[in-house]
Formats: sequence, structure tokens, C-alpha cells
Amino acid sequence: MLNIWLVSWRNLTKNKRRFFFTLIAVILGILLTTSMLVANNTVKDTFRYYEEIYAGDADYWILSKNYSFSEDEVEEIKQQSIVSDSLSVLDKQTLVEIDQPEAPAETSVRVTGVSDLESNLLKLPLTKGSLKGNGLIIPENAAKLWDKDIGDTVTFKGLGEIEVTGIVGFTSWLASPNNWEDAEGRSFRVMMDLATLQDWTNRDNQISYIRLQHKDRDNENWLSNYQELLQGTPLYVQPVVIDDLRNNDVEGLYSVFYLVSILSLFISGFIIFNMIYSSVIERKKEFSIMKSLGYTNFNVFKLVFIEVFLLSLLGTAIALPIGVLFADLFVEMLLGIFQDTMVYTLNWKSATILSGLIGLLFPIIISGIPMYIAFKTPIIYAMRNSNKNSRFRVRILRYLLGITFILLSFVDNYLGYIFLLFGVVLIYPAVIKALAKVLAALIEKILGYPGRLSVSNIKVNTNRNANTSAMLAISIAVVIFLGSALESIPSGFEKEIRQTFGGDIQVQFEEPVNEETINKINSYTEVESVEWFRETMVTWKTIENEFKEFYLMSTPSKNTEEYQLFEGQDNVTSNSILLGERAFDEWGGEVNDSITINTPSGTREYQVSGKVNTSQDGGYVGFISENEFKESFNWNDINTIMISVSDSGNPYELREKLNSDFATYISTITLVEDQIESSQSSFDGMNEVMQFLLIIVIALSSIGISNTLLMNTMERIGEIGTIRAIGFTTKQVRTMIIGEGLIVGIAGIIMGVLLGIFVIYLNSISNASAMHMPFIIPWSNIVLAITAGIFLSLIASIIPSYIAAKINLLSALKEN
Amino acid sequence: MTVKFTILGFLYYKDMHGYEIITEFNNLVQNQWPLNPGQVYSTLERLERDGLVESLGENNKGRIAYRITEKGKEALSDWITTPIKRPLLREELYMKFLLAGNKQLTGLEELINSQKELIIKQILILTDFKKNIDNKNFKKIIYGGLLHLEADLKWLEYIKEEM
Amino acid sequence: MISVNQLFKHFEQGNQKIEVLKGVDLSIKEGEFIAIMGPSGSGKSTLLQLLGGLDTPSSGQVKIQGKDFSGLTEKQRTIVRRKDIGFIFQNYQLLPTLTVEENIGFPLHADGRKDKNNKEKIINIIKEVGLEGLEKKSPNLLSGGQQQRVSIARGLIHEPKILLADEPTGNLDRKRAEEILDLLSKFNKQRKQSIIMVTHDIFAAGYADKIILFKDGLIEKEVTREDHGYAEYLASFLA
Repeated sequence: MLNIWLVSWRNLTKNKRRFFFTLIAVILGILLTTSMLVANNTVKDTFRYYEEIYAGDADYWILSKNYSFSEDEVEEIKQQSIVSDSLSVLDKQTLVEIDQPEAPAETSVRVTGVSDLESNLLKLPLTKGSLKGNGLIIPENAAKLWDKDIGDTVTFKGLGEIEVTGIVGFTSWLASPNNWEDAEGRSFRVMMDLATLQDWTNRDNQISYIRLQHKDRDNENWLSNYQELLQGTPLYVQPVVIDDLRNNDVEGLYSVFYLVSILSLFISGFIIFNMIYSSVIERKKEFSIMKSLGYTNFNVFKLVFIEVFLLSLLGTAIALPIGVLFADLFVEMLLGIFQDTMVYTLNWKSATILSGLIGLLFPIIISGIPMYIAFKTPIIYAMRNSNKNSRFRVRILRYLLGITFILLSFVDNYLGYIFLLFGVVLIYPAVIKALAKVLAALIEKILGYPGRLSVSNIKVNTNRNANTSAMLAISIAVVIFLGSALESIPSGFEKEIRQTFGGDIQVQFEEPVNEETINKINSYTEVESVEWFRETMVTWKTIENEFKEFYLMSTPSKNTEEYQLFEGQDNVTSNSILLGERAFDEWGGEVNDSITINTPSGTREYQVSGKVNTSQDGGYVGFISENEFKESFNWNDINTIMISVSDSGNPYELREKLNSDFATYISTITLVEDQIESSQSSFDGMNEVMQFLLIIVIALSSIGISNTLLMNTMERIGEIGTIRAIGFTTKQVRTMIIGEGLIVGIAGIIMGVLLGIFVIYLNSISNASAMHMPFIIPWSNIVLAITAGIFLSLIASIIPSYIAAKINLLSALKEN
Repeated sequence: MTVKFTILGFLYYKDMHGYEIITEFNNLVQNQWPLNPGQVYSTLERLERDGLVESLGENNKGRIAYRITEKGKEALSDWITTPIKRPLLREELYMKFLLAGNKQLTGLEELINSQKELIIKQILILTDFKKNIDNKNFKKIIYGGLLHLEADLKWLEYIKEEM
Repeated sequence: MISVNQLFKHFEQGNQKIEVLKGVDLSIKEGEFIAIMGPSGSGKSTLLQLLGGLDTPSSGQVKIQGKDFSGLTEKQRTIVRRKDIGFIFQNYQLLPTLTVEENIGFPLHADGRKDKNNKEKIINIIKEVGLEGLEKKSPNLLSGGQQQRVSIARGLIHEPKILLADEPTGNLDRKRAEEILDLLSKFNKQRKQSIIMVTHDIFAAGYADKIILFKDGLIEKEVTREDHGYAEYLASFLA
């Protein structure tokens, strides 16, 4: 038994370079798969974790339509035996005195007072200090920017001063600006004891909301009980829902993870296939002799099987730990785009087990055809020449099947793309032969006579070269497709944000604004006009009956083009709702179905009258009529105003003015430019991540090209020796090998560009596709792909070409 | 024996007199096969006696021309189609080897060396010869000779190895 | 034409130094047909490789038309090979991806110069080696003798001064070997090309003007046809 393992190992490693390159391919493929899967799980987990610690163990919260209410009003509710825990919270906007050169004149901060800092309904991720100190709890960002540490004192203007006793990591409770520029538009957030805050602000017993934990957690009846109980009061209830979609628009990212892992597996699969296939074909004679000496078909199969198994075992064993490490780096880079103080725990176990299984099985599945060839090698193979006729028939069949598959790609389904993929691979040998013929003149023109030899050499291992070129073509097609996807976003997003931002500046006030405030703002020279809309966070149910949470907004007080919040529908009637794109997709229903929403005046059904484009919360919002707020919710207060800046006004100066005049009232001031910038930067971040992954995919393709050229070279050592002997310089030999790489590369580029454009076209006419993309040809990406492709095939040819040129003439001549 | 049929062979194509036959013969074998002119004339006489050729009488130079008869043509045809049997083992060289090997006569090594020398010489002669002639058929004869020499040389090398 | 002066060549094998050539002196005149004979491992193939610039000597000189080969760079040696030297190998070493005529034309194309006469040259030599009608065929489809003809045509197409042949008849039967030797000898006479042939085949050596006998990395003797005791000496040497 040991014997067959040893024999297989020896066979596998006989050709050291080829083995090495193939092993690298296995390792890179599995490594990328592992890290993508681990990153996928970890990122999902992390976002969910932060949502969960935000939700704490709370089940319901009771809030007010007003800024605050007396805790006495909910005393009865708190005392119910079913309520196991509660947390009272008061938010207060104020100013903090910061002695930092970069800090603005007024640094606004939102102080949250909580009844119990250690509550399970809060779960603060403490990184330094203690929660027991009865002092101030600040997030890491604030600690860094303010240069405050445990024991330092922070002074709040007009309120008092307090010692910092705890520093916490990222949590949505205390989400704060990362830099001073960011701090212009939003407040820092800190936390302290409720009683102290109430005392400071003279709001005895006043709270903004209360969170409740129930013993009977899964009983939804409590929601309607509370709704009934609070009927007619300014208070209302919402279930606590964990929903990370509101904060992070990352579904696209998960698709990229899967795409990259599939692509890298696909490429490494090609490399493995090429290697095993060549090795089996080289040894057919050997197999037939073994069979004539008494090996069964199965024995021979087993021999090859064990080779592949050893390869995948070794590759996987090396790849898994590196993959997890890589995932760690990658997740860090990725989460940094969102929030650089986020902490995460790698969720590597299940993904690593899955990748391990893929790593072990995938090469074996890929090698199915070569193993079958080994299995089927006839005993008399060693004594006869292969039957050319049947080969020809197989080839015709292959091409016909390929063309059929390509035609089947019009099937409006994901299957269509799979058909396309297989179709392209099947017809590729014909493609590369044809392209080699077409390119012959060009290659010879550039590279001279060595180039002509490159063209003839391509025909020697057509299938192998075709596979390699197909692999490159598919990678390039994916690059171009993603390029198109990315390009379709930015071309629209700035315009879209401006169109549906609602004015030029949005100001959220902590307490309802009165006419006086609006008049005052209206009187600023920079201000053209002021409008407003109402908004409140609500929970709702998808058609799968899952609780979600988003902002419900009213149509603006003046629904002109200047102040519109959404596009695509003019208005919304009472009892109906318009959903932003992402909300609509998440909801899962059809237009005119009804959606269940827990409004401030109880659970209501709304008819979804359409899907609209909006930049509000990235499209994860609902819109109802202003009347609905006023009459059904009895919600008359205005907290958010929209300002249109006059043509001569500077929005940044206006912001500064507002900040100083209403410092303790304003929660956030958002300029449309801020919104665009933040979308741009998260978009850039995603773009960077995507490009990083694509570079890796392309690097993997280049290993594929290297591997193929190396195999081609190694098989032709004798020939290379001959051409050197009869007059080729080493440079000409190198040129010849580079020429082969160029043909494979250029063919791959041509096919990849065509394929990419074809896929973009298919996607644009598709109804089933998740990504709705117009037919945009990403010219800059195509140029990039062409340059990168040529550069890459040149780079990939360099090692094989030097190896070919370094070949010892004398031993090469003995090879034949 | 061979001279008789060679003469018949020449006469098959053309009537000839004795001197003509001698010249043609020397041309054909590229002077590689010495022929006694007397033997030609005596053979011709014998052939006439046996009725295989007939005399056409003397010409003005006193030379007698001959013509092949039907009987002569038959005899020629028989000869051409009859295979030649070579002695399989009855060669003088083999006998020398047997004697020297079995009877402990000295000189076997000397024999092999000198035989080899001879063969190499013959190879060189044939090769030289082949380089300098144009007659295609005769080249083939030389090739036949070379093949024999190759076989002999291989045998000698074998013997030498075995010693 | 060619002069070899105190040529040494050794290989390192592990810690061992294997001396293959131990000071060879030789000179070859234009148009000479030389056969190099000797037992396996006597250094005759190495000498041929050094004459062709496929390898560099450990010391000593190989001069071709007065130019010292050993002082040249790899590239310069290639250029000398391309211009002045033709090769014929025992196993033909034809390029399977190229057709017969492309194989033959290789040395003309290798230097990158486009010459209108190239085509004509190829047609002529194909006729001379008797390969008419096989121009577009792949060499894999030819018999051994035909492949060696392609190899000869390729070795001579660029009209080199010297043709180096390494066991050209080694893989052929007597008849095909004789045909190939006839061809070589014809070219030697017609084109006054020097031929240096390493061979085990005494029949092949028979075509040469001079036979150089190699033993233990040294020239044991040079014999010419005119020499007295030529055959005797060969016989004893080959014993």
C-alpha cells in the first residue's frame, strides 16, 4: 500500500518545476477561496455583531413623539412582572470644550445619559477603564481626536465637567466622527449616568426613551398590548430589531467575495487540469505497459487518483492557514473602509472546513477527464498509433456542443452564464487556432522569424494553450463586466444624490423646531428658502414575516424638484407607501401588495404603490404622505429641515453659522456635498477592494500562463537545443517563447473583451439579473484589461523564456 | 558456366562476334571480373556445337558473328530464373576457424585480424569504386558486396568478442 | 580552415573532474572530408561540439578561418554557427512544428535577413537531396532516410564552410546509410565543403579522405587513404 503512495508521489514530483507551479496554483486557488469565504462570514458576523450590541438584549422600546417625557409615564409598564430589565435613556446635544489646534470653534457632542452603564440592554465594548466609575464613557475616535485618556476631565459648555472613566470600541450607540473634517457635520457621542445628565440639564426624571427586556421574549402579542396601552399618548412602542441593512450597503460586496472565489478556483482548476492532463498523456505508453504487465484499469486510475489527491492535500494544507491569515488582513482593510475602530473576530471555522473540502475534492473533480483517460488507456496503446479519425469526430462534436452552449447563454437565468462559460471553453481550440492564423502576420512583424515559430508552436498543444487563453479571456471578461458594473454606479450616483437629497443642506434638530427658528434661518443671506419633512424610525415586516427597520419619511412640505426626496413617482396617497429600491428588494413583494408597518400610532397596513429612486439612507427607506404623519400619527412636530442655499451663498459658511447659532439644538447638519463625498469615498473604497481582488485574480491567471509556457518549453527542450545549434541566439529563443505567451495573451484579450461585452449585453437585456445595469461599455477598463493582459502575458513569459534560453545546449540535444 | 550464359545474354540483344562480346563484358562489370579471351572463343564454339547459337559467317575482317537460336533463348531463360544456391556453412574461412578453434592450432587471432584488415580494405576499395562510377546497376552490385562485407565483419567482431 | 590548438575539456561531476579532451591538435583544410573514429567516451563527440561552438573548451583554441571561437560570446558563436557551420545529427533533430521546406529554410530565416534568393535556394536543395513532392509535409511523416535528407539539406542550405555530422548514419540501415553517404560525398565534391563526421561506422569512414582516430581524449593517429598500411592500421585500431 505504501508502495503505491510512494510511486504516485515520485510521479507527481518528477517534473519539479511543473509540480511547483501547479502546487502554487492549487495553493492560490484554495487560499483565495478560503480567505474570501472567511472574509464573507467575518464581515457578515461583524456587522451583525455591532447591530446586536446596539440592540443589546432589549425587546421593545418606548419612545415619544416629543423630545422627552417623564419616566413616571412608563413606571407602570416598568413594574410589570413580565419586564425583566429596562434602560432609560436621555439624549442631550451640547458643546464640548476641546483644546486641540484642529478642532473647530464649537465642537458639538451628543451626551447620552443611561440609567445603567453596565446594563445588558447596552453592552458597551469597553477597551479601557471601567464602566463603574460613574464618569464619562467616550469612544476611541473621540479619545484620539480629543487627546483624552482615563482620568482626564472633559468640560461641557454650560453643563459641567466630568472625568473620563471608560473608553469603548466601535458601537452604534457612540458612533463618532473619525476626523475633524467629519466632525463639521456630525456630533461626537459620549455616555454618562442618566441622573447626572438629568441633574445638569434640569430635566428631572425626563427621558428620551426607555428600552425593555421581556421574560416572554418571543410573544409578539406584547406589541399590540403596548400599542393599545399607549393609544392617545405621545408615546409609542417599537420592537427592537436587528437590521444591518440600514447602515451598510454591502450586499454587492458579498457577491464579489463569491465571484472572486469562484474565479480563482476556476483558474487554478485550469492549471491543475493542464498539468494532470499533460502528465497523463505523456504516460499513456507507460500505462499501457503497466496494464500489459497485469495492472487493472482501476489500478492505473488509482495511481493517478493518488497523485491528484497528494497534490490537493499538500496544496490545501499549505493554503488553509495562509488563507485565514490573508482573510484577517483583508477584513481589516475592508472594515477600515467603514469604520476604522471596528473590531472583529475571524469566523474561520466553517469557512475553513468548507474550503478544505473544496480544496481536497475540487482538483480531483477537475482531473476527472485525465483520470478517465488513464483508466481507459488500451493495453495495445504502446504498440499502435492513435486513431486520428475518431479524434476528428470528437473535435467536431466538441465544437457543435460549444456553439449550442453559447446559444443557450441567452437563457435568462444564471444558468445562461454557466452555459456561456462552458461554451467558450469548448470552442476555444478552434478560436485560438483561427486567432493564431490571424495574428501570425502581426506577431511575425513584431518579433520577426522567432514570432513565426511561436505561431507554429501554438498548434503543438492546442488544447493546453486554448485552456490557458480561455482562462485569461474569462478573467478579463469578468474584469470588464465588473468595470461596467462600477461605471454604471458613479455615472448616476452624484446626480441621483443631488436630485433626491432634498434641498442643499439637511438639519436635524434634537427638539422640534418652531416658527421662530425657521424664520431666523430663513433670514440668513445664504438661505434661499427652507422646507421640511417628517421622519421617524419604524419597524416593518418583509413578506417572509421578518422584522426590519428603516426610516419612514413624509413627502417634503414643498414637493418641488428642489426639495424632492425621491424620484420616479410624483406623489403618494394616504394609506399607500413608496419604497426605496433597496427597501423594496428586501421587502420582496410586488407593487400593490401591502406591507405591515409598526407606526407611532400602531401597526398599520400600507399598499406599496411603487418603487422609487432615492439617495435617502441608500434607498432603504419608505415614504408616506405628509398628511399621514399629521393625521394618522398625530405627528405635528418638525425635526428635520431642508435648506436651499442661494446662488451666492456658501454652504460651508452657512453650516458654520448654523453650528454656532444653534449649537445645542442641532443633531446633524448634512450638506449634499458631504453626502456625495461620503458615497464617493465608500464607493472608492469598494472600488479599491474590487481592484485589489482583480489584481490577485489576474496574477493567478499569469501563473497559469507561466505554467503552460513552462510545460510547452520543457516538452520541447530537444527542439530548442536544435534551433540553438542551427542558428538561433538565446535572445531569439526568448523572443519565440514570449511570442507564444503573446499569442495566448492577445487571443485571451480579444476573446475576453468580446466575451465581457457580450456578458454586459446579456445582463442588460436580462430580467432575472440581480444587478440592473444599462449596456455601458467600460472603455477605460477595456484599455486597462488590454494593457494589463499584454503586460501580464509578457511577464508570465519571462520566466519560461529565460529557462528556455538557459537550457544547456548539449543536454538539450540529447533529449530527443 | 557463367561465361556461357553471359555470352548467351549478350547475343540475346544483338548478334555479335567474339571481340565485341569481350568489350561489352568488360564494360558491364566495370573491368572488375577478369575474362580470358580464349575462353570466350572456345565457349562460342561449344555453344554452336550444342545448337544454342548459330554462326553468321566471317566478316571482311575475318571475325565470326553469332546469333542466338530458339534453343539458346530457352536455355538462357532457364538460367536466369534458376536461383543461386550459396554454400551455407561450407566456407574456407569457417573451416579455418573450426580447425583452429577445436584443434588448438595457433594463429586464430592472426587470422581474424588479417581477415578484418582484408575486409576493411575491400570496403574501402568498394566505397572508392562506388564514388567514381555512374552506372546505377553496378552501384547496386557494389552495395550487395558491401552488405556481404558488413555481415562478414560483424561475424569477425563477434568471434573476437567471444575469444 | 580549421585549426585546433592544445584543446582541453573537462567536466565536473560531483567532486570528480572528468577529462574528456587532453590537448588535441588538429588542422583541417578546405574541402576535406574527415571521419573521426574511436571508442565511446574517447572524446570525439566533444571535439565535434567544440568545433561547432556548441560548447566552450576548458583551455586551448578552436580557430575557424583564423578566428578564435573560444574568445567569442555566446551570441557571436551563434552567429558564426549560423553563417559558417552546418550540423547533421544522428537523430535528425527536425522541428516537428515546421514543414520539410520550413525546416530546411530555418538557417536562412534565423538571421532575419530577407533574401529573394532564399526560395530558389530551398527549391534547389530539395531537388538535390531528392525530396521533391514532400515540401509541405510534416517531417514526422517521413522515413528515417528522408528525415536525414531534410537534415542534410538544412545543414547545407546556408552554404556553410564546414558541415559537422554526428553519427549521421547511426540510426539508418546499410542501404539508407549508403544513400546518405553518397549525398554527403557528392556535396563534398561539388561544393568543396569540409565535412567532419564522427562515426562508428567503418563504411561511413570509407567515404572520408582522412580518418582521425581518437583514444582517451587524444588523437591516436591520422590516416589517409594514400598511407601505407591504412587498412591494417584501421583494422587493428577497431579491434
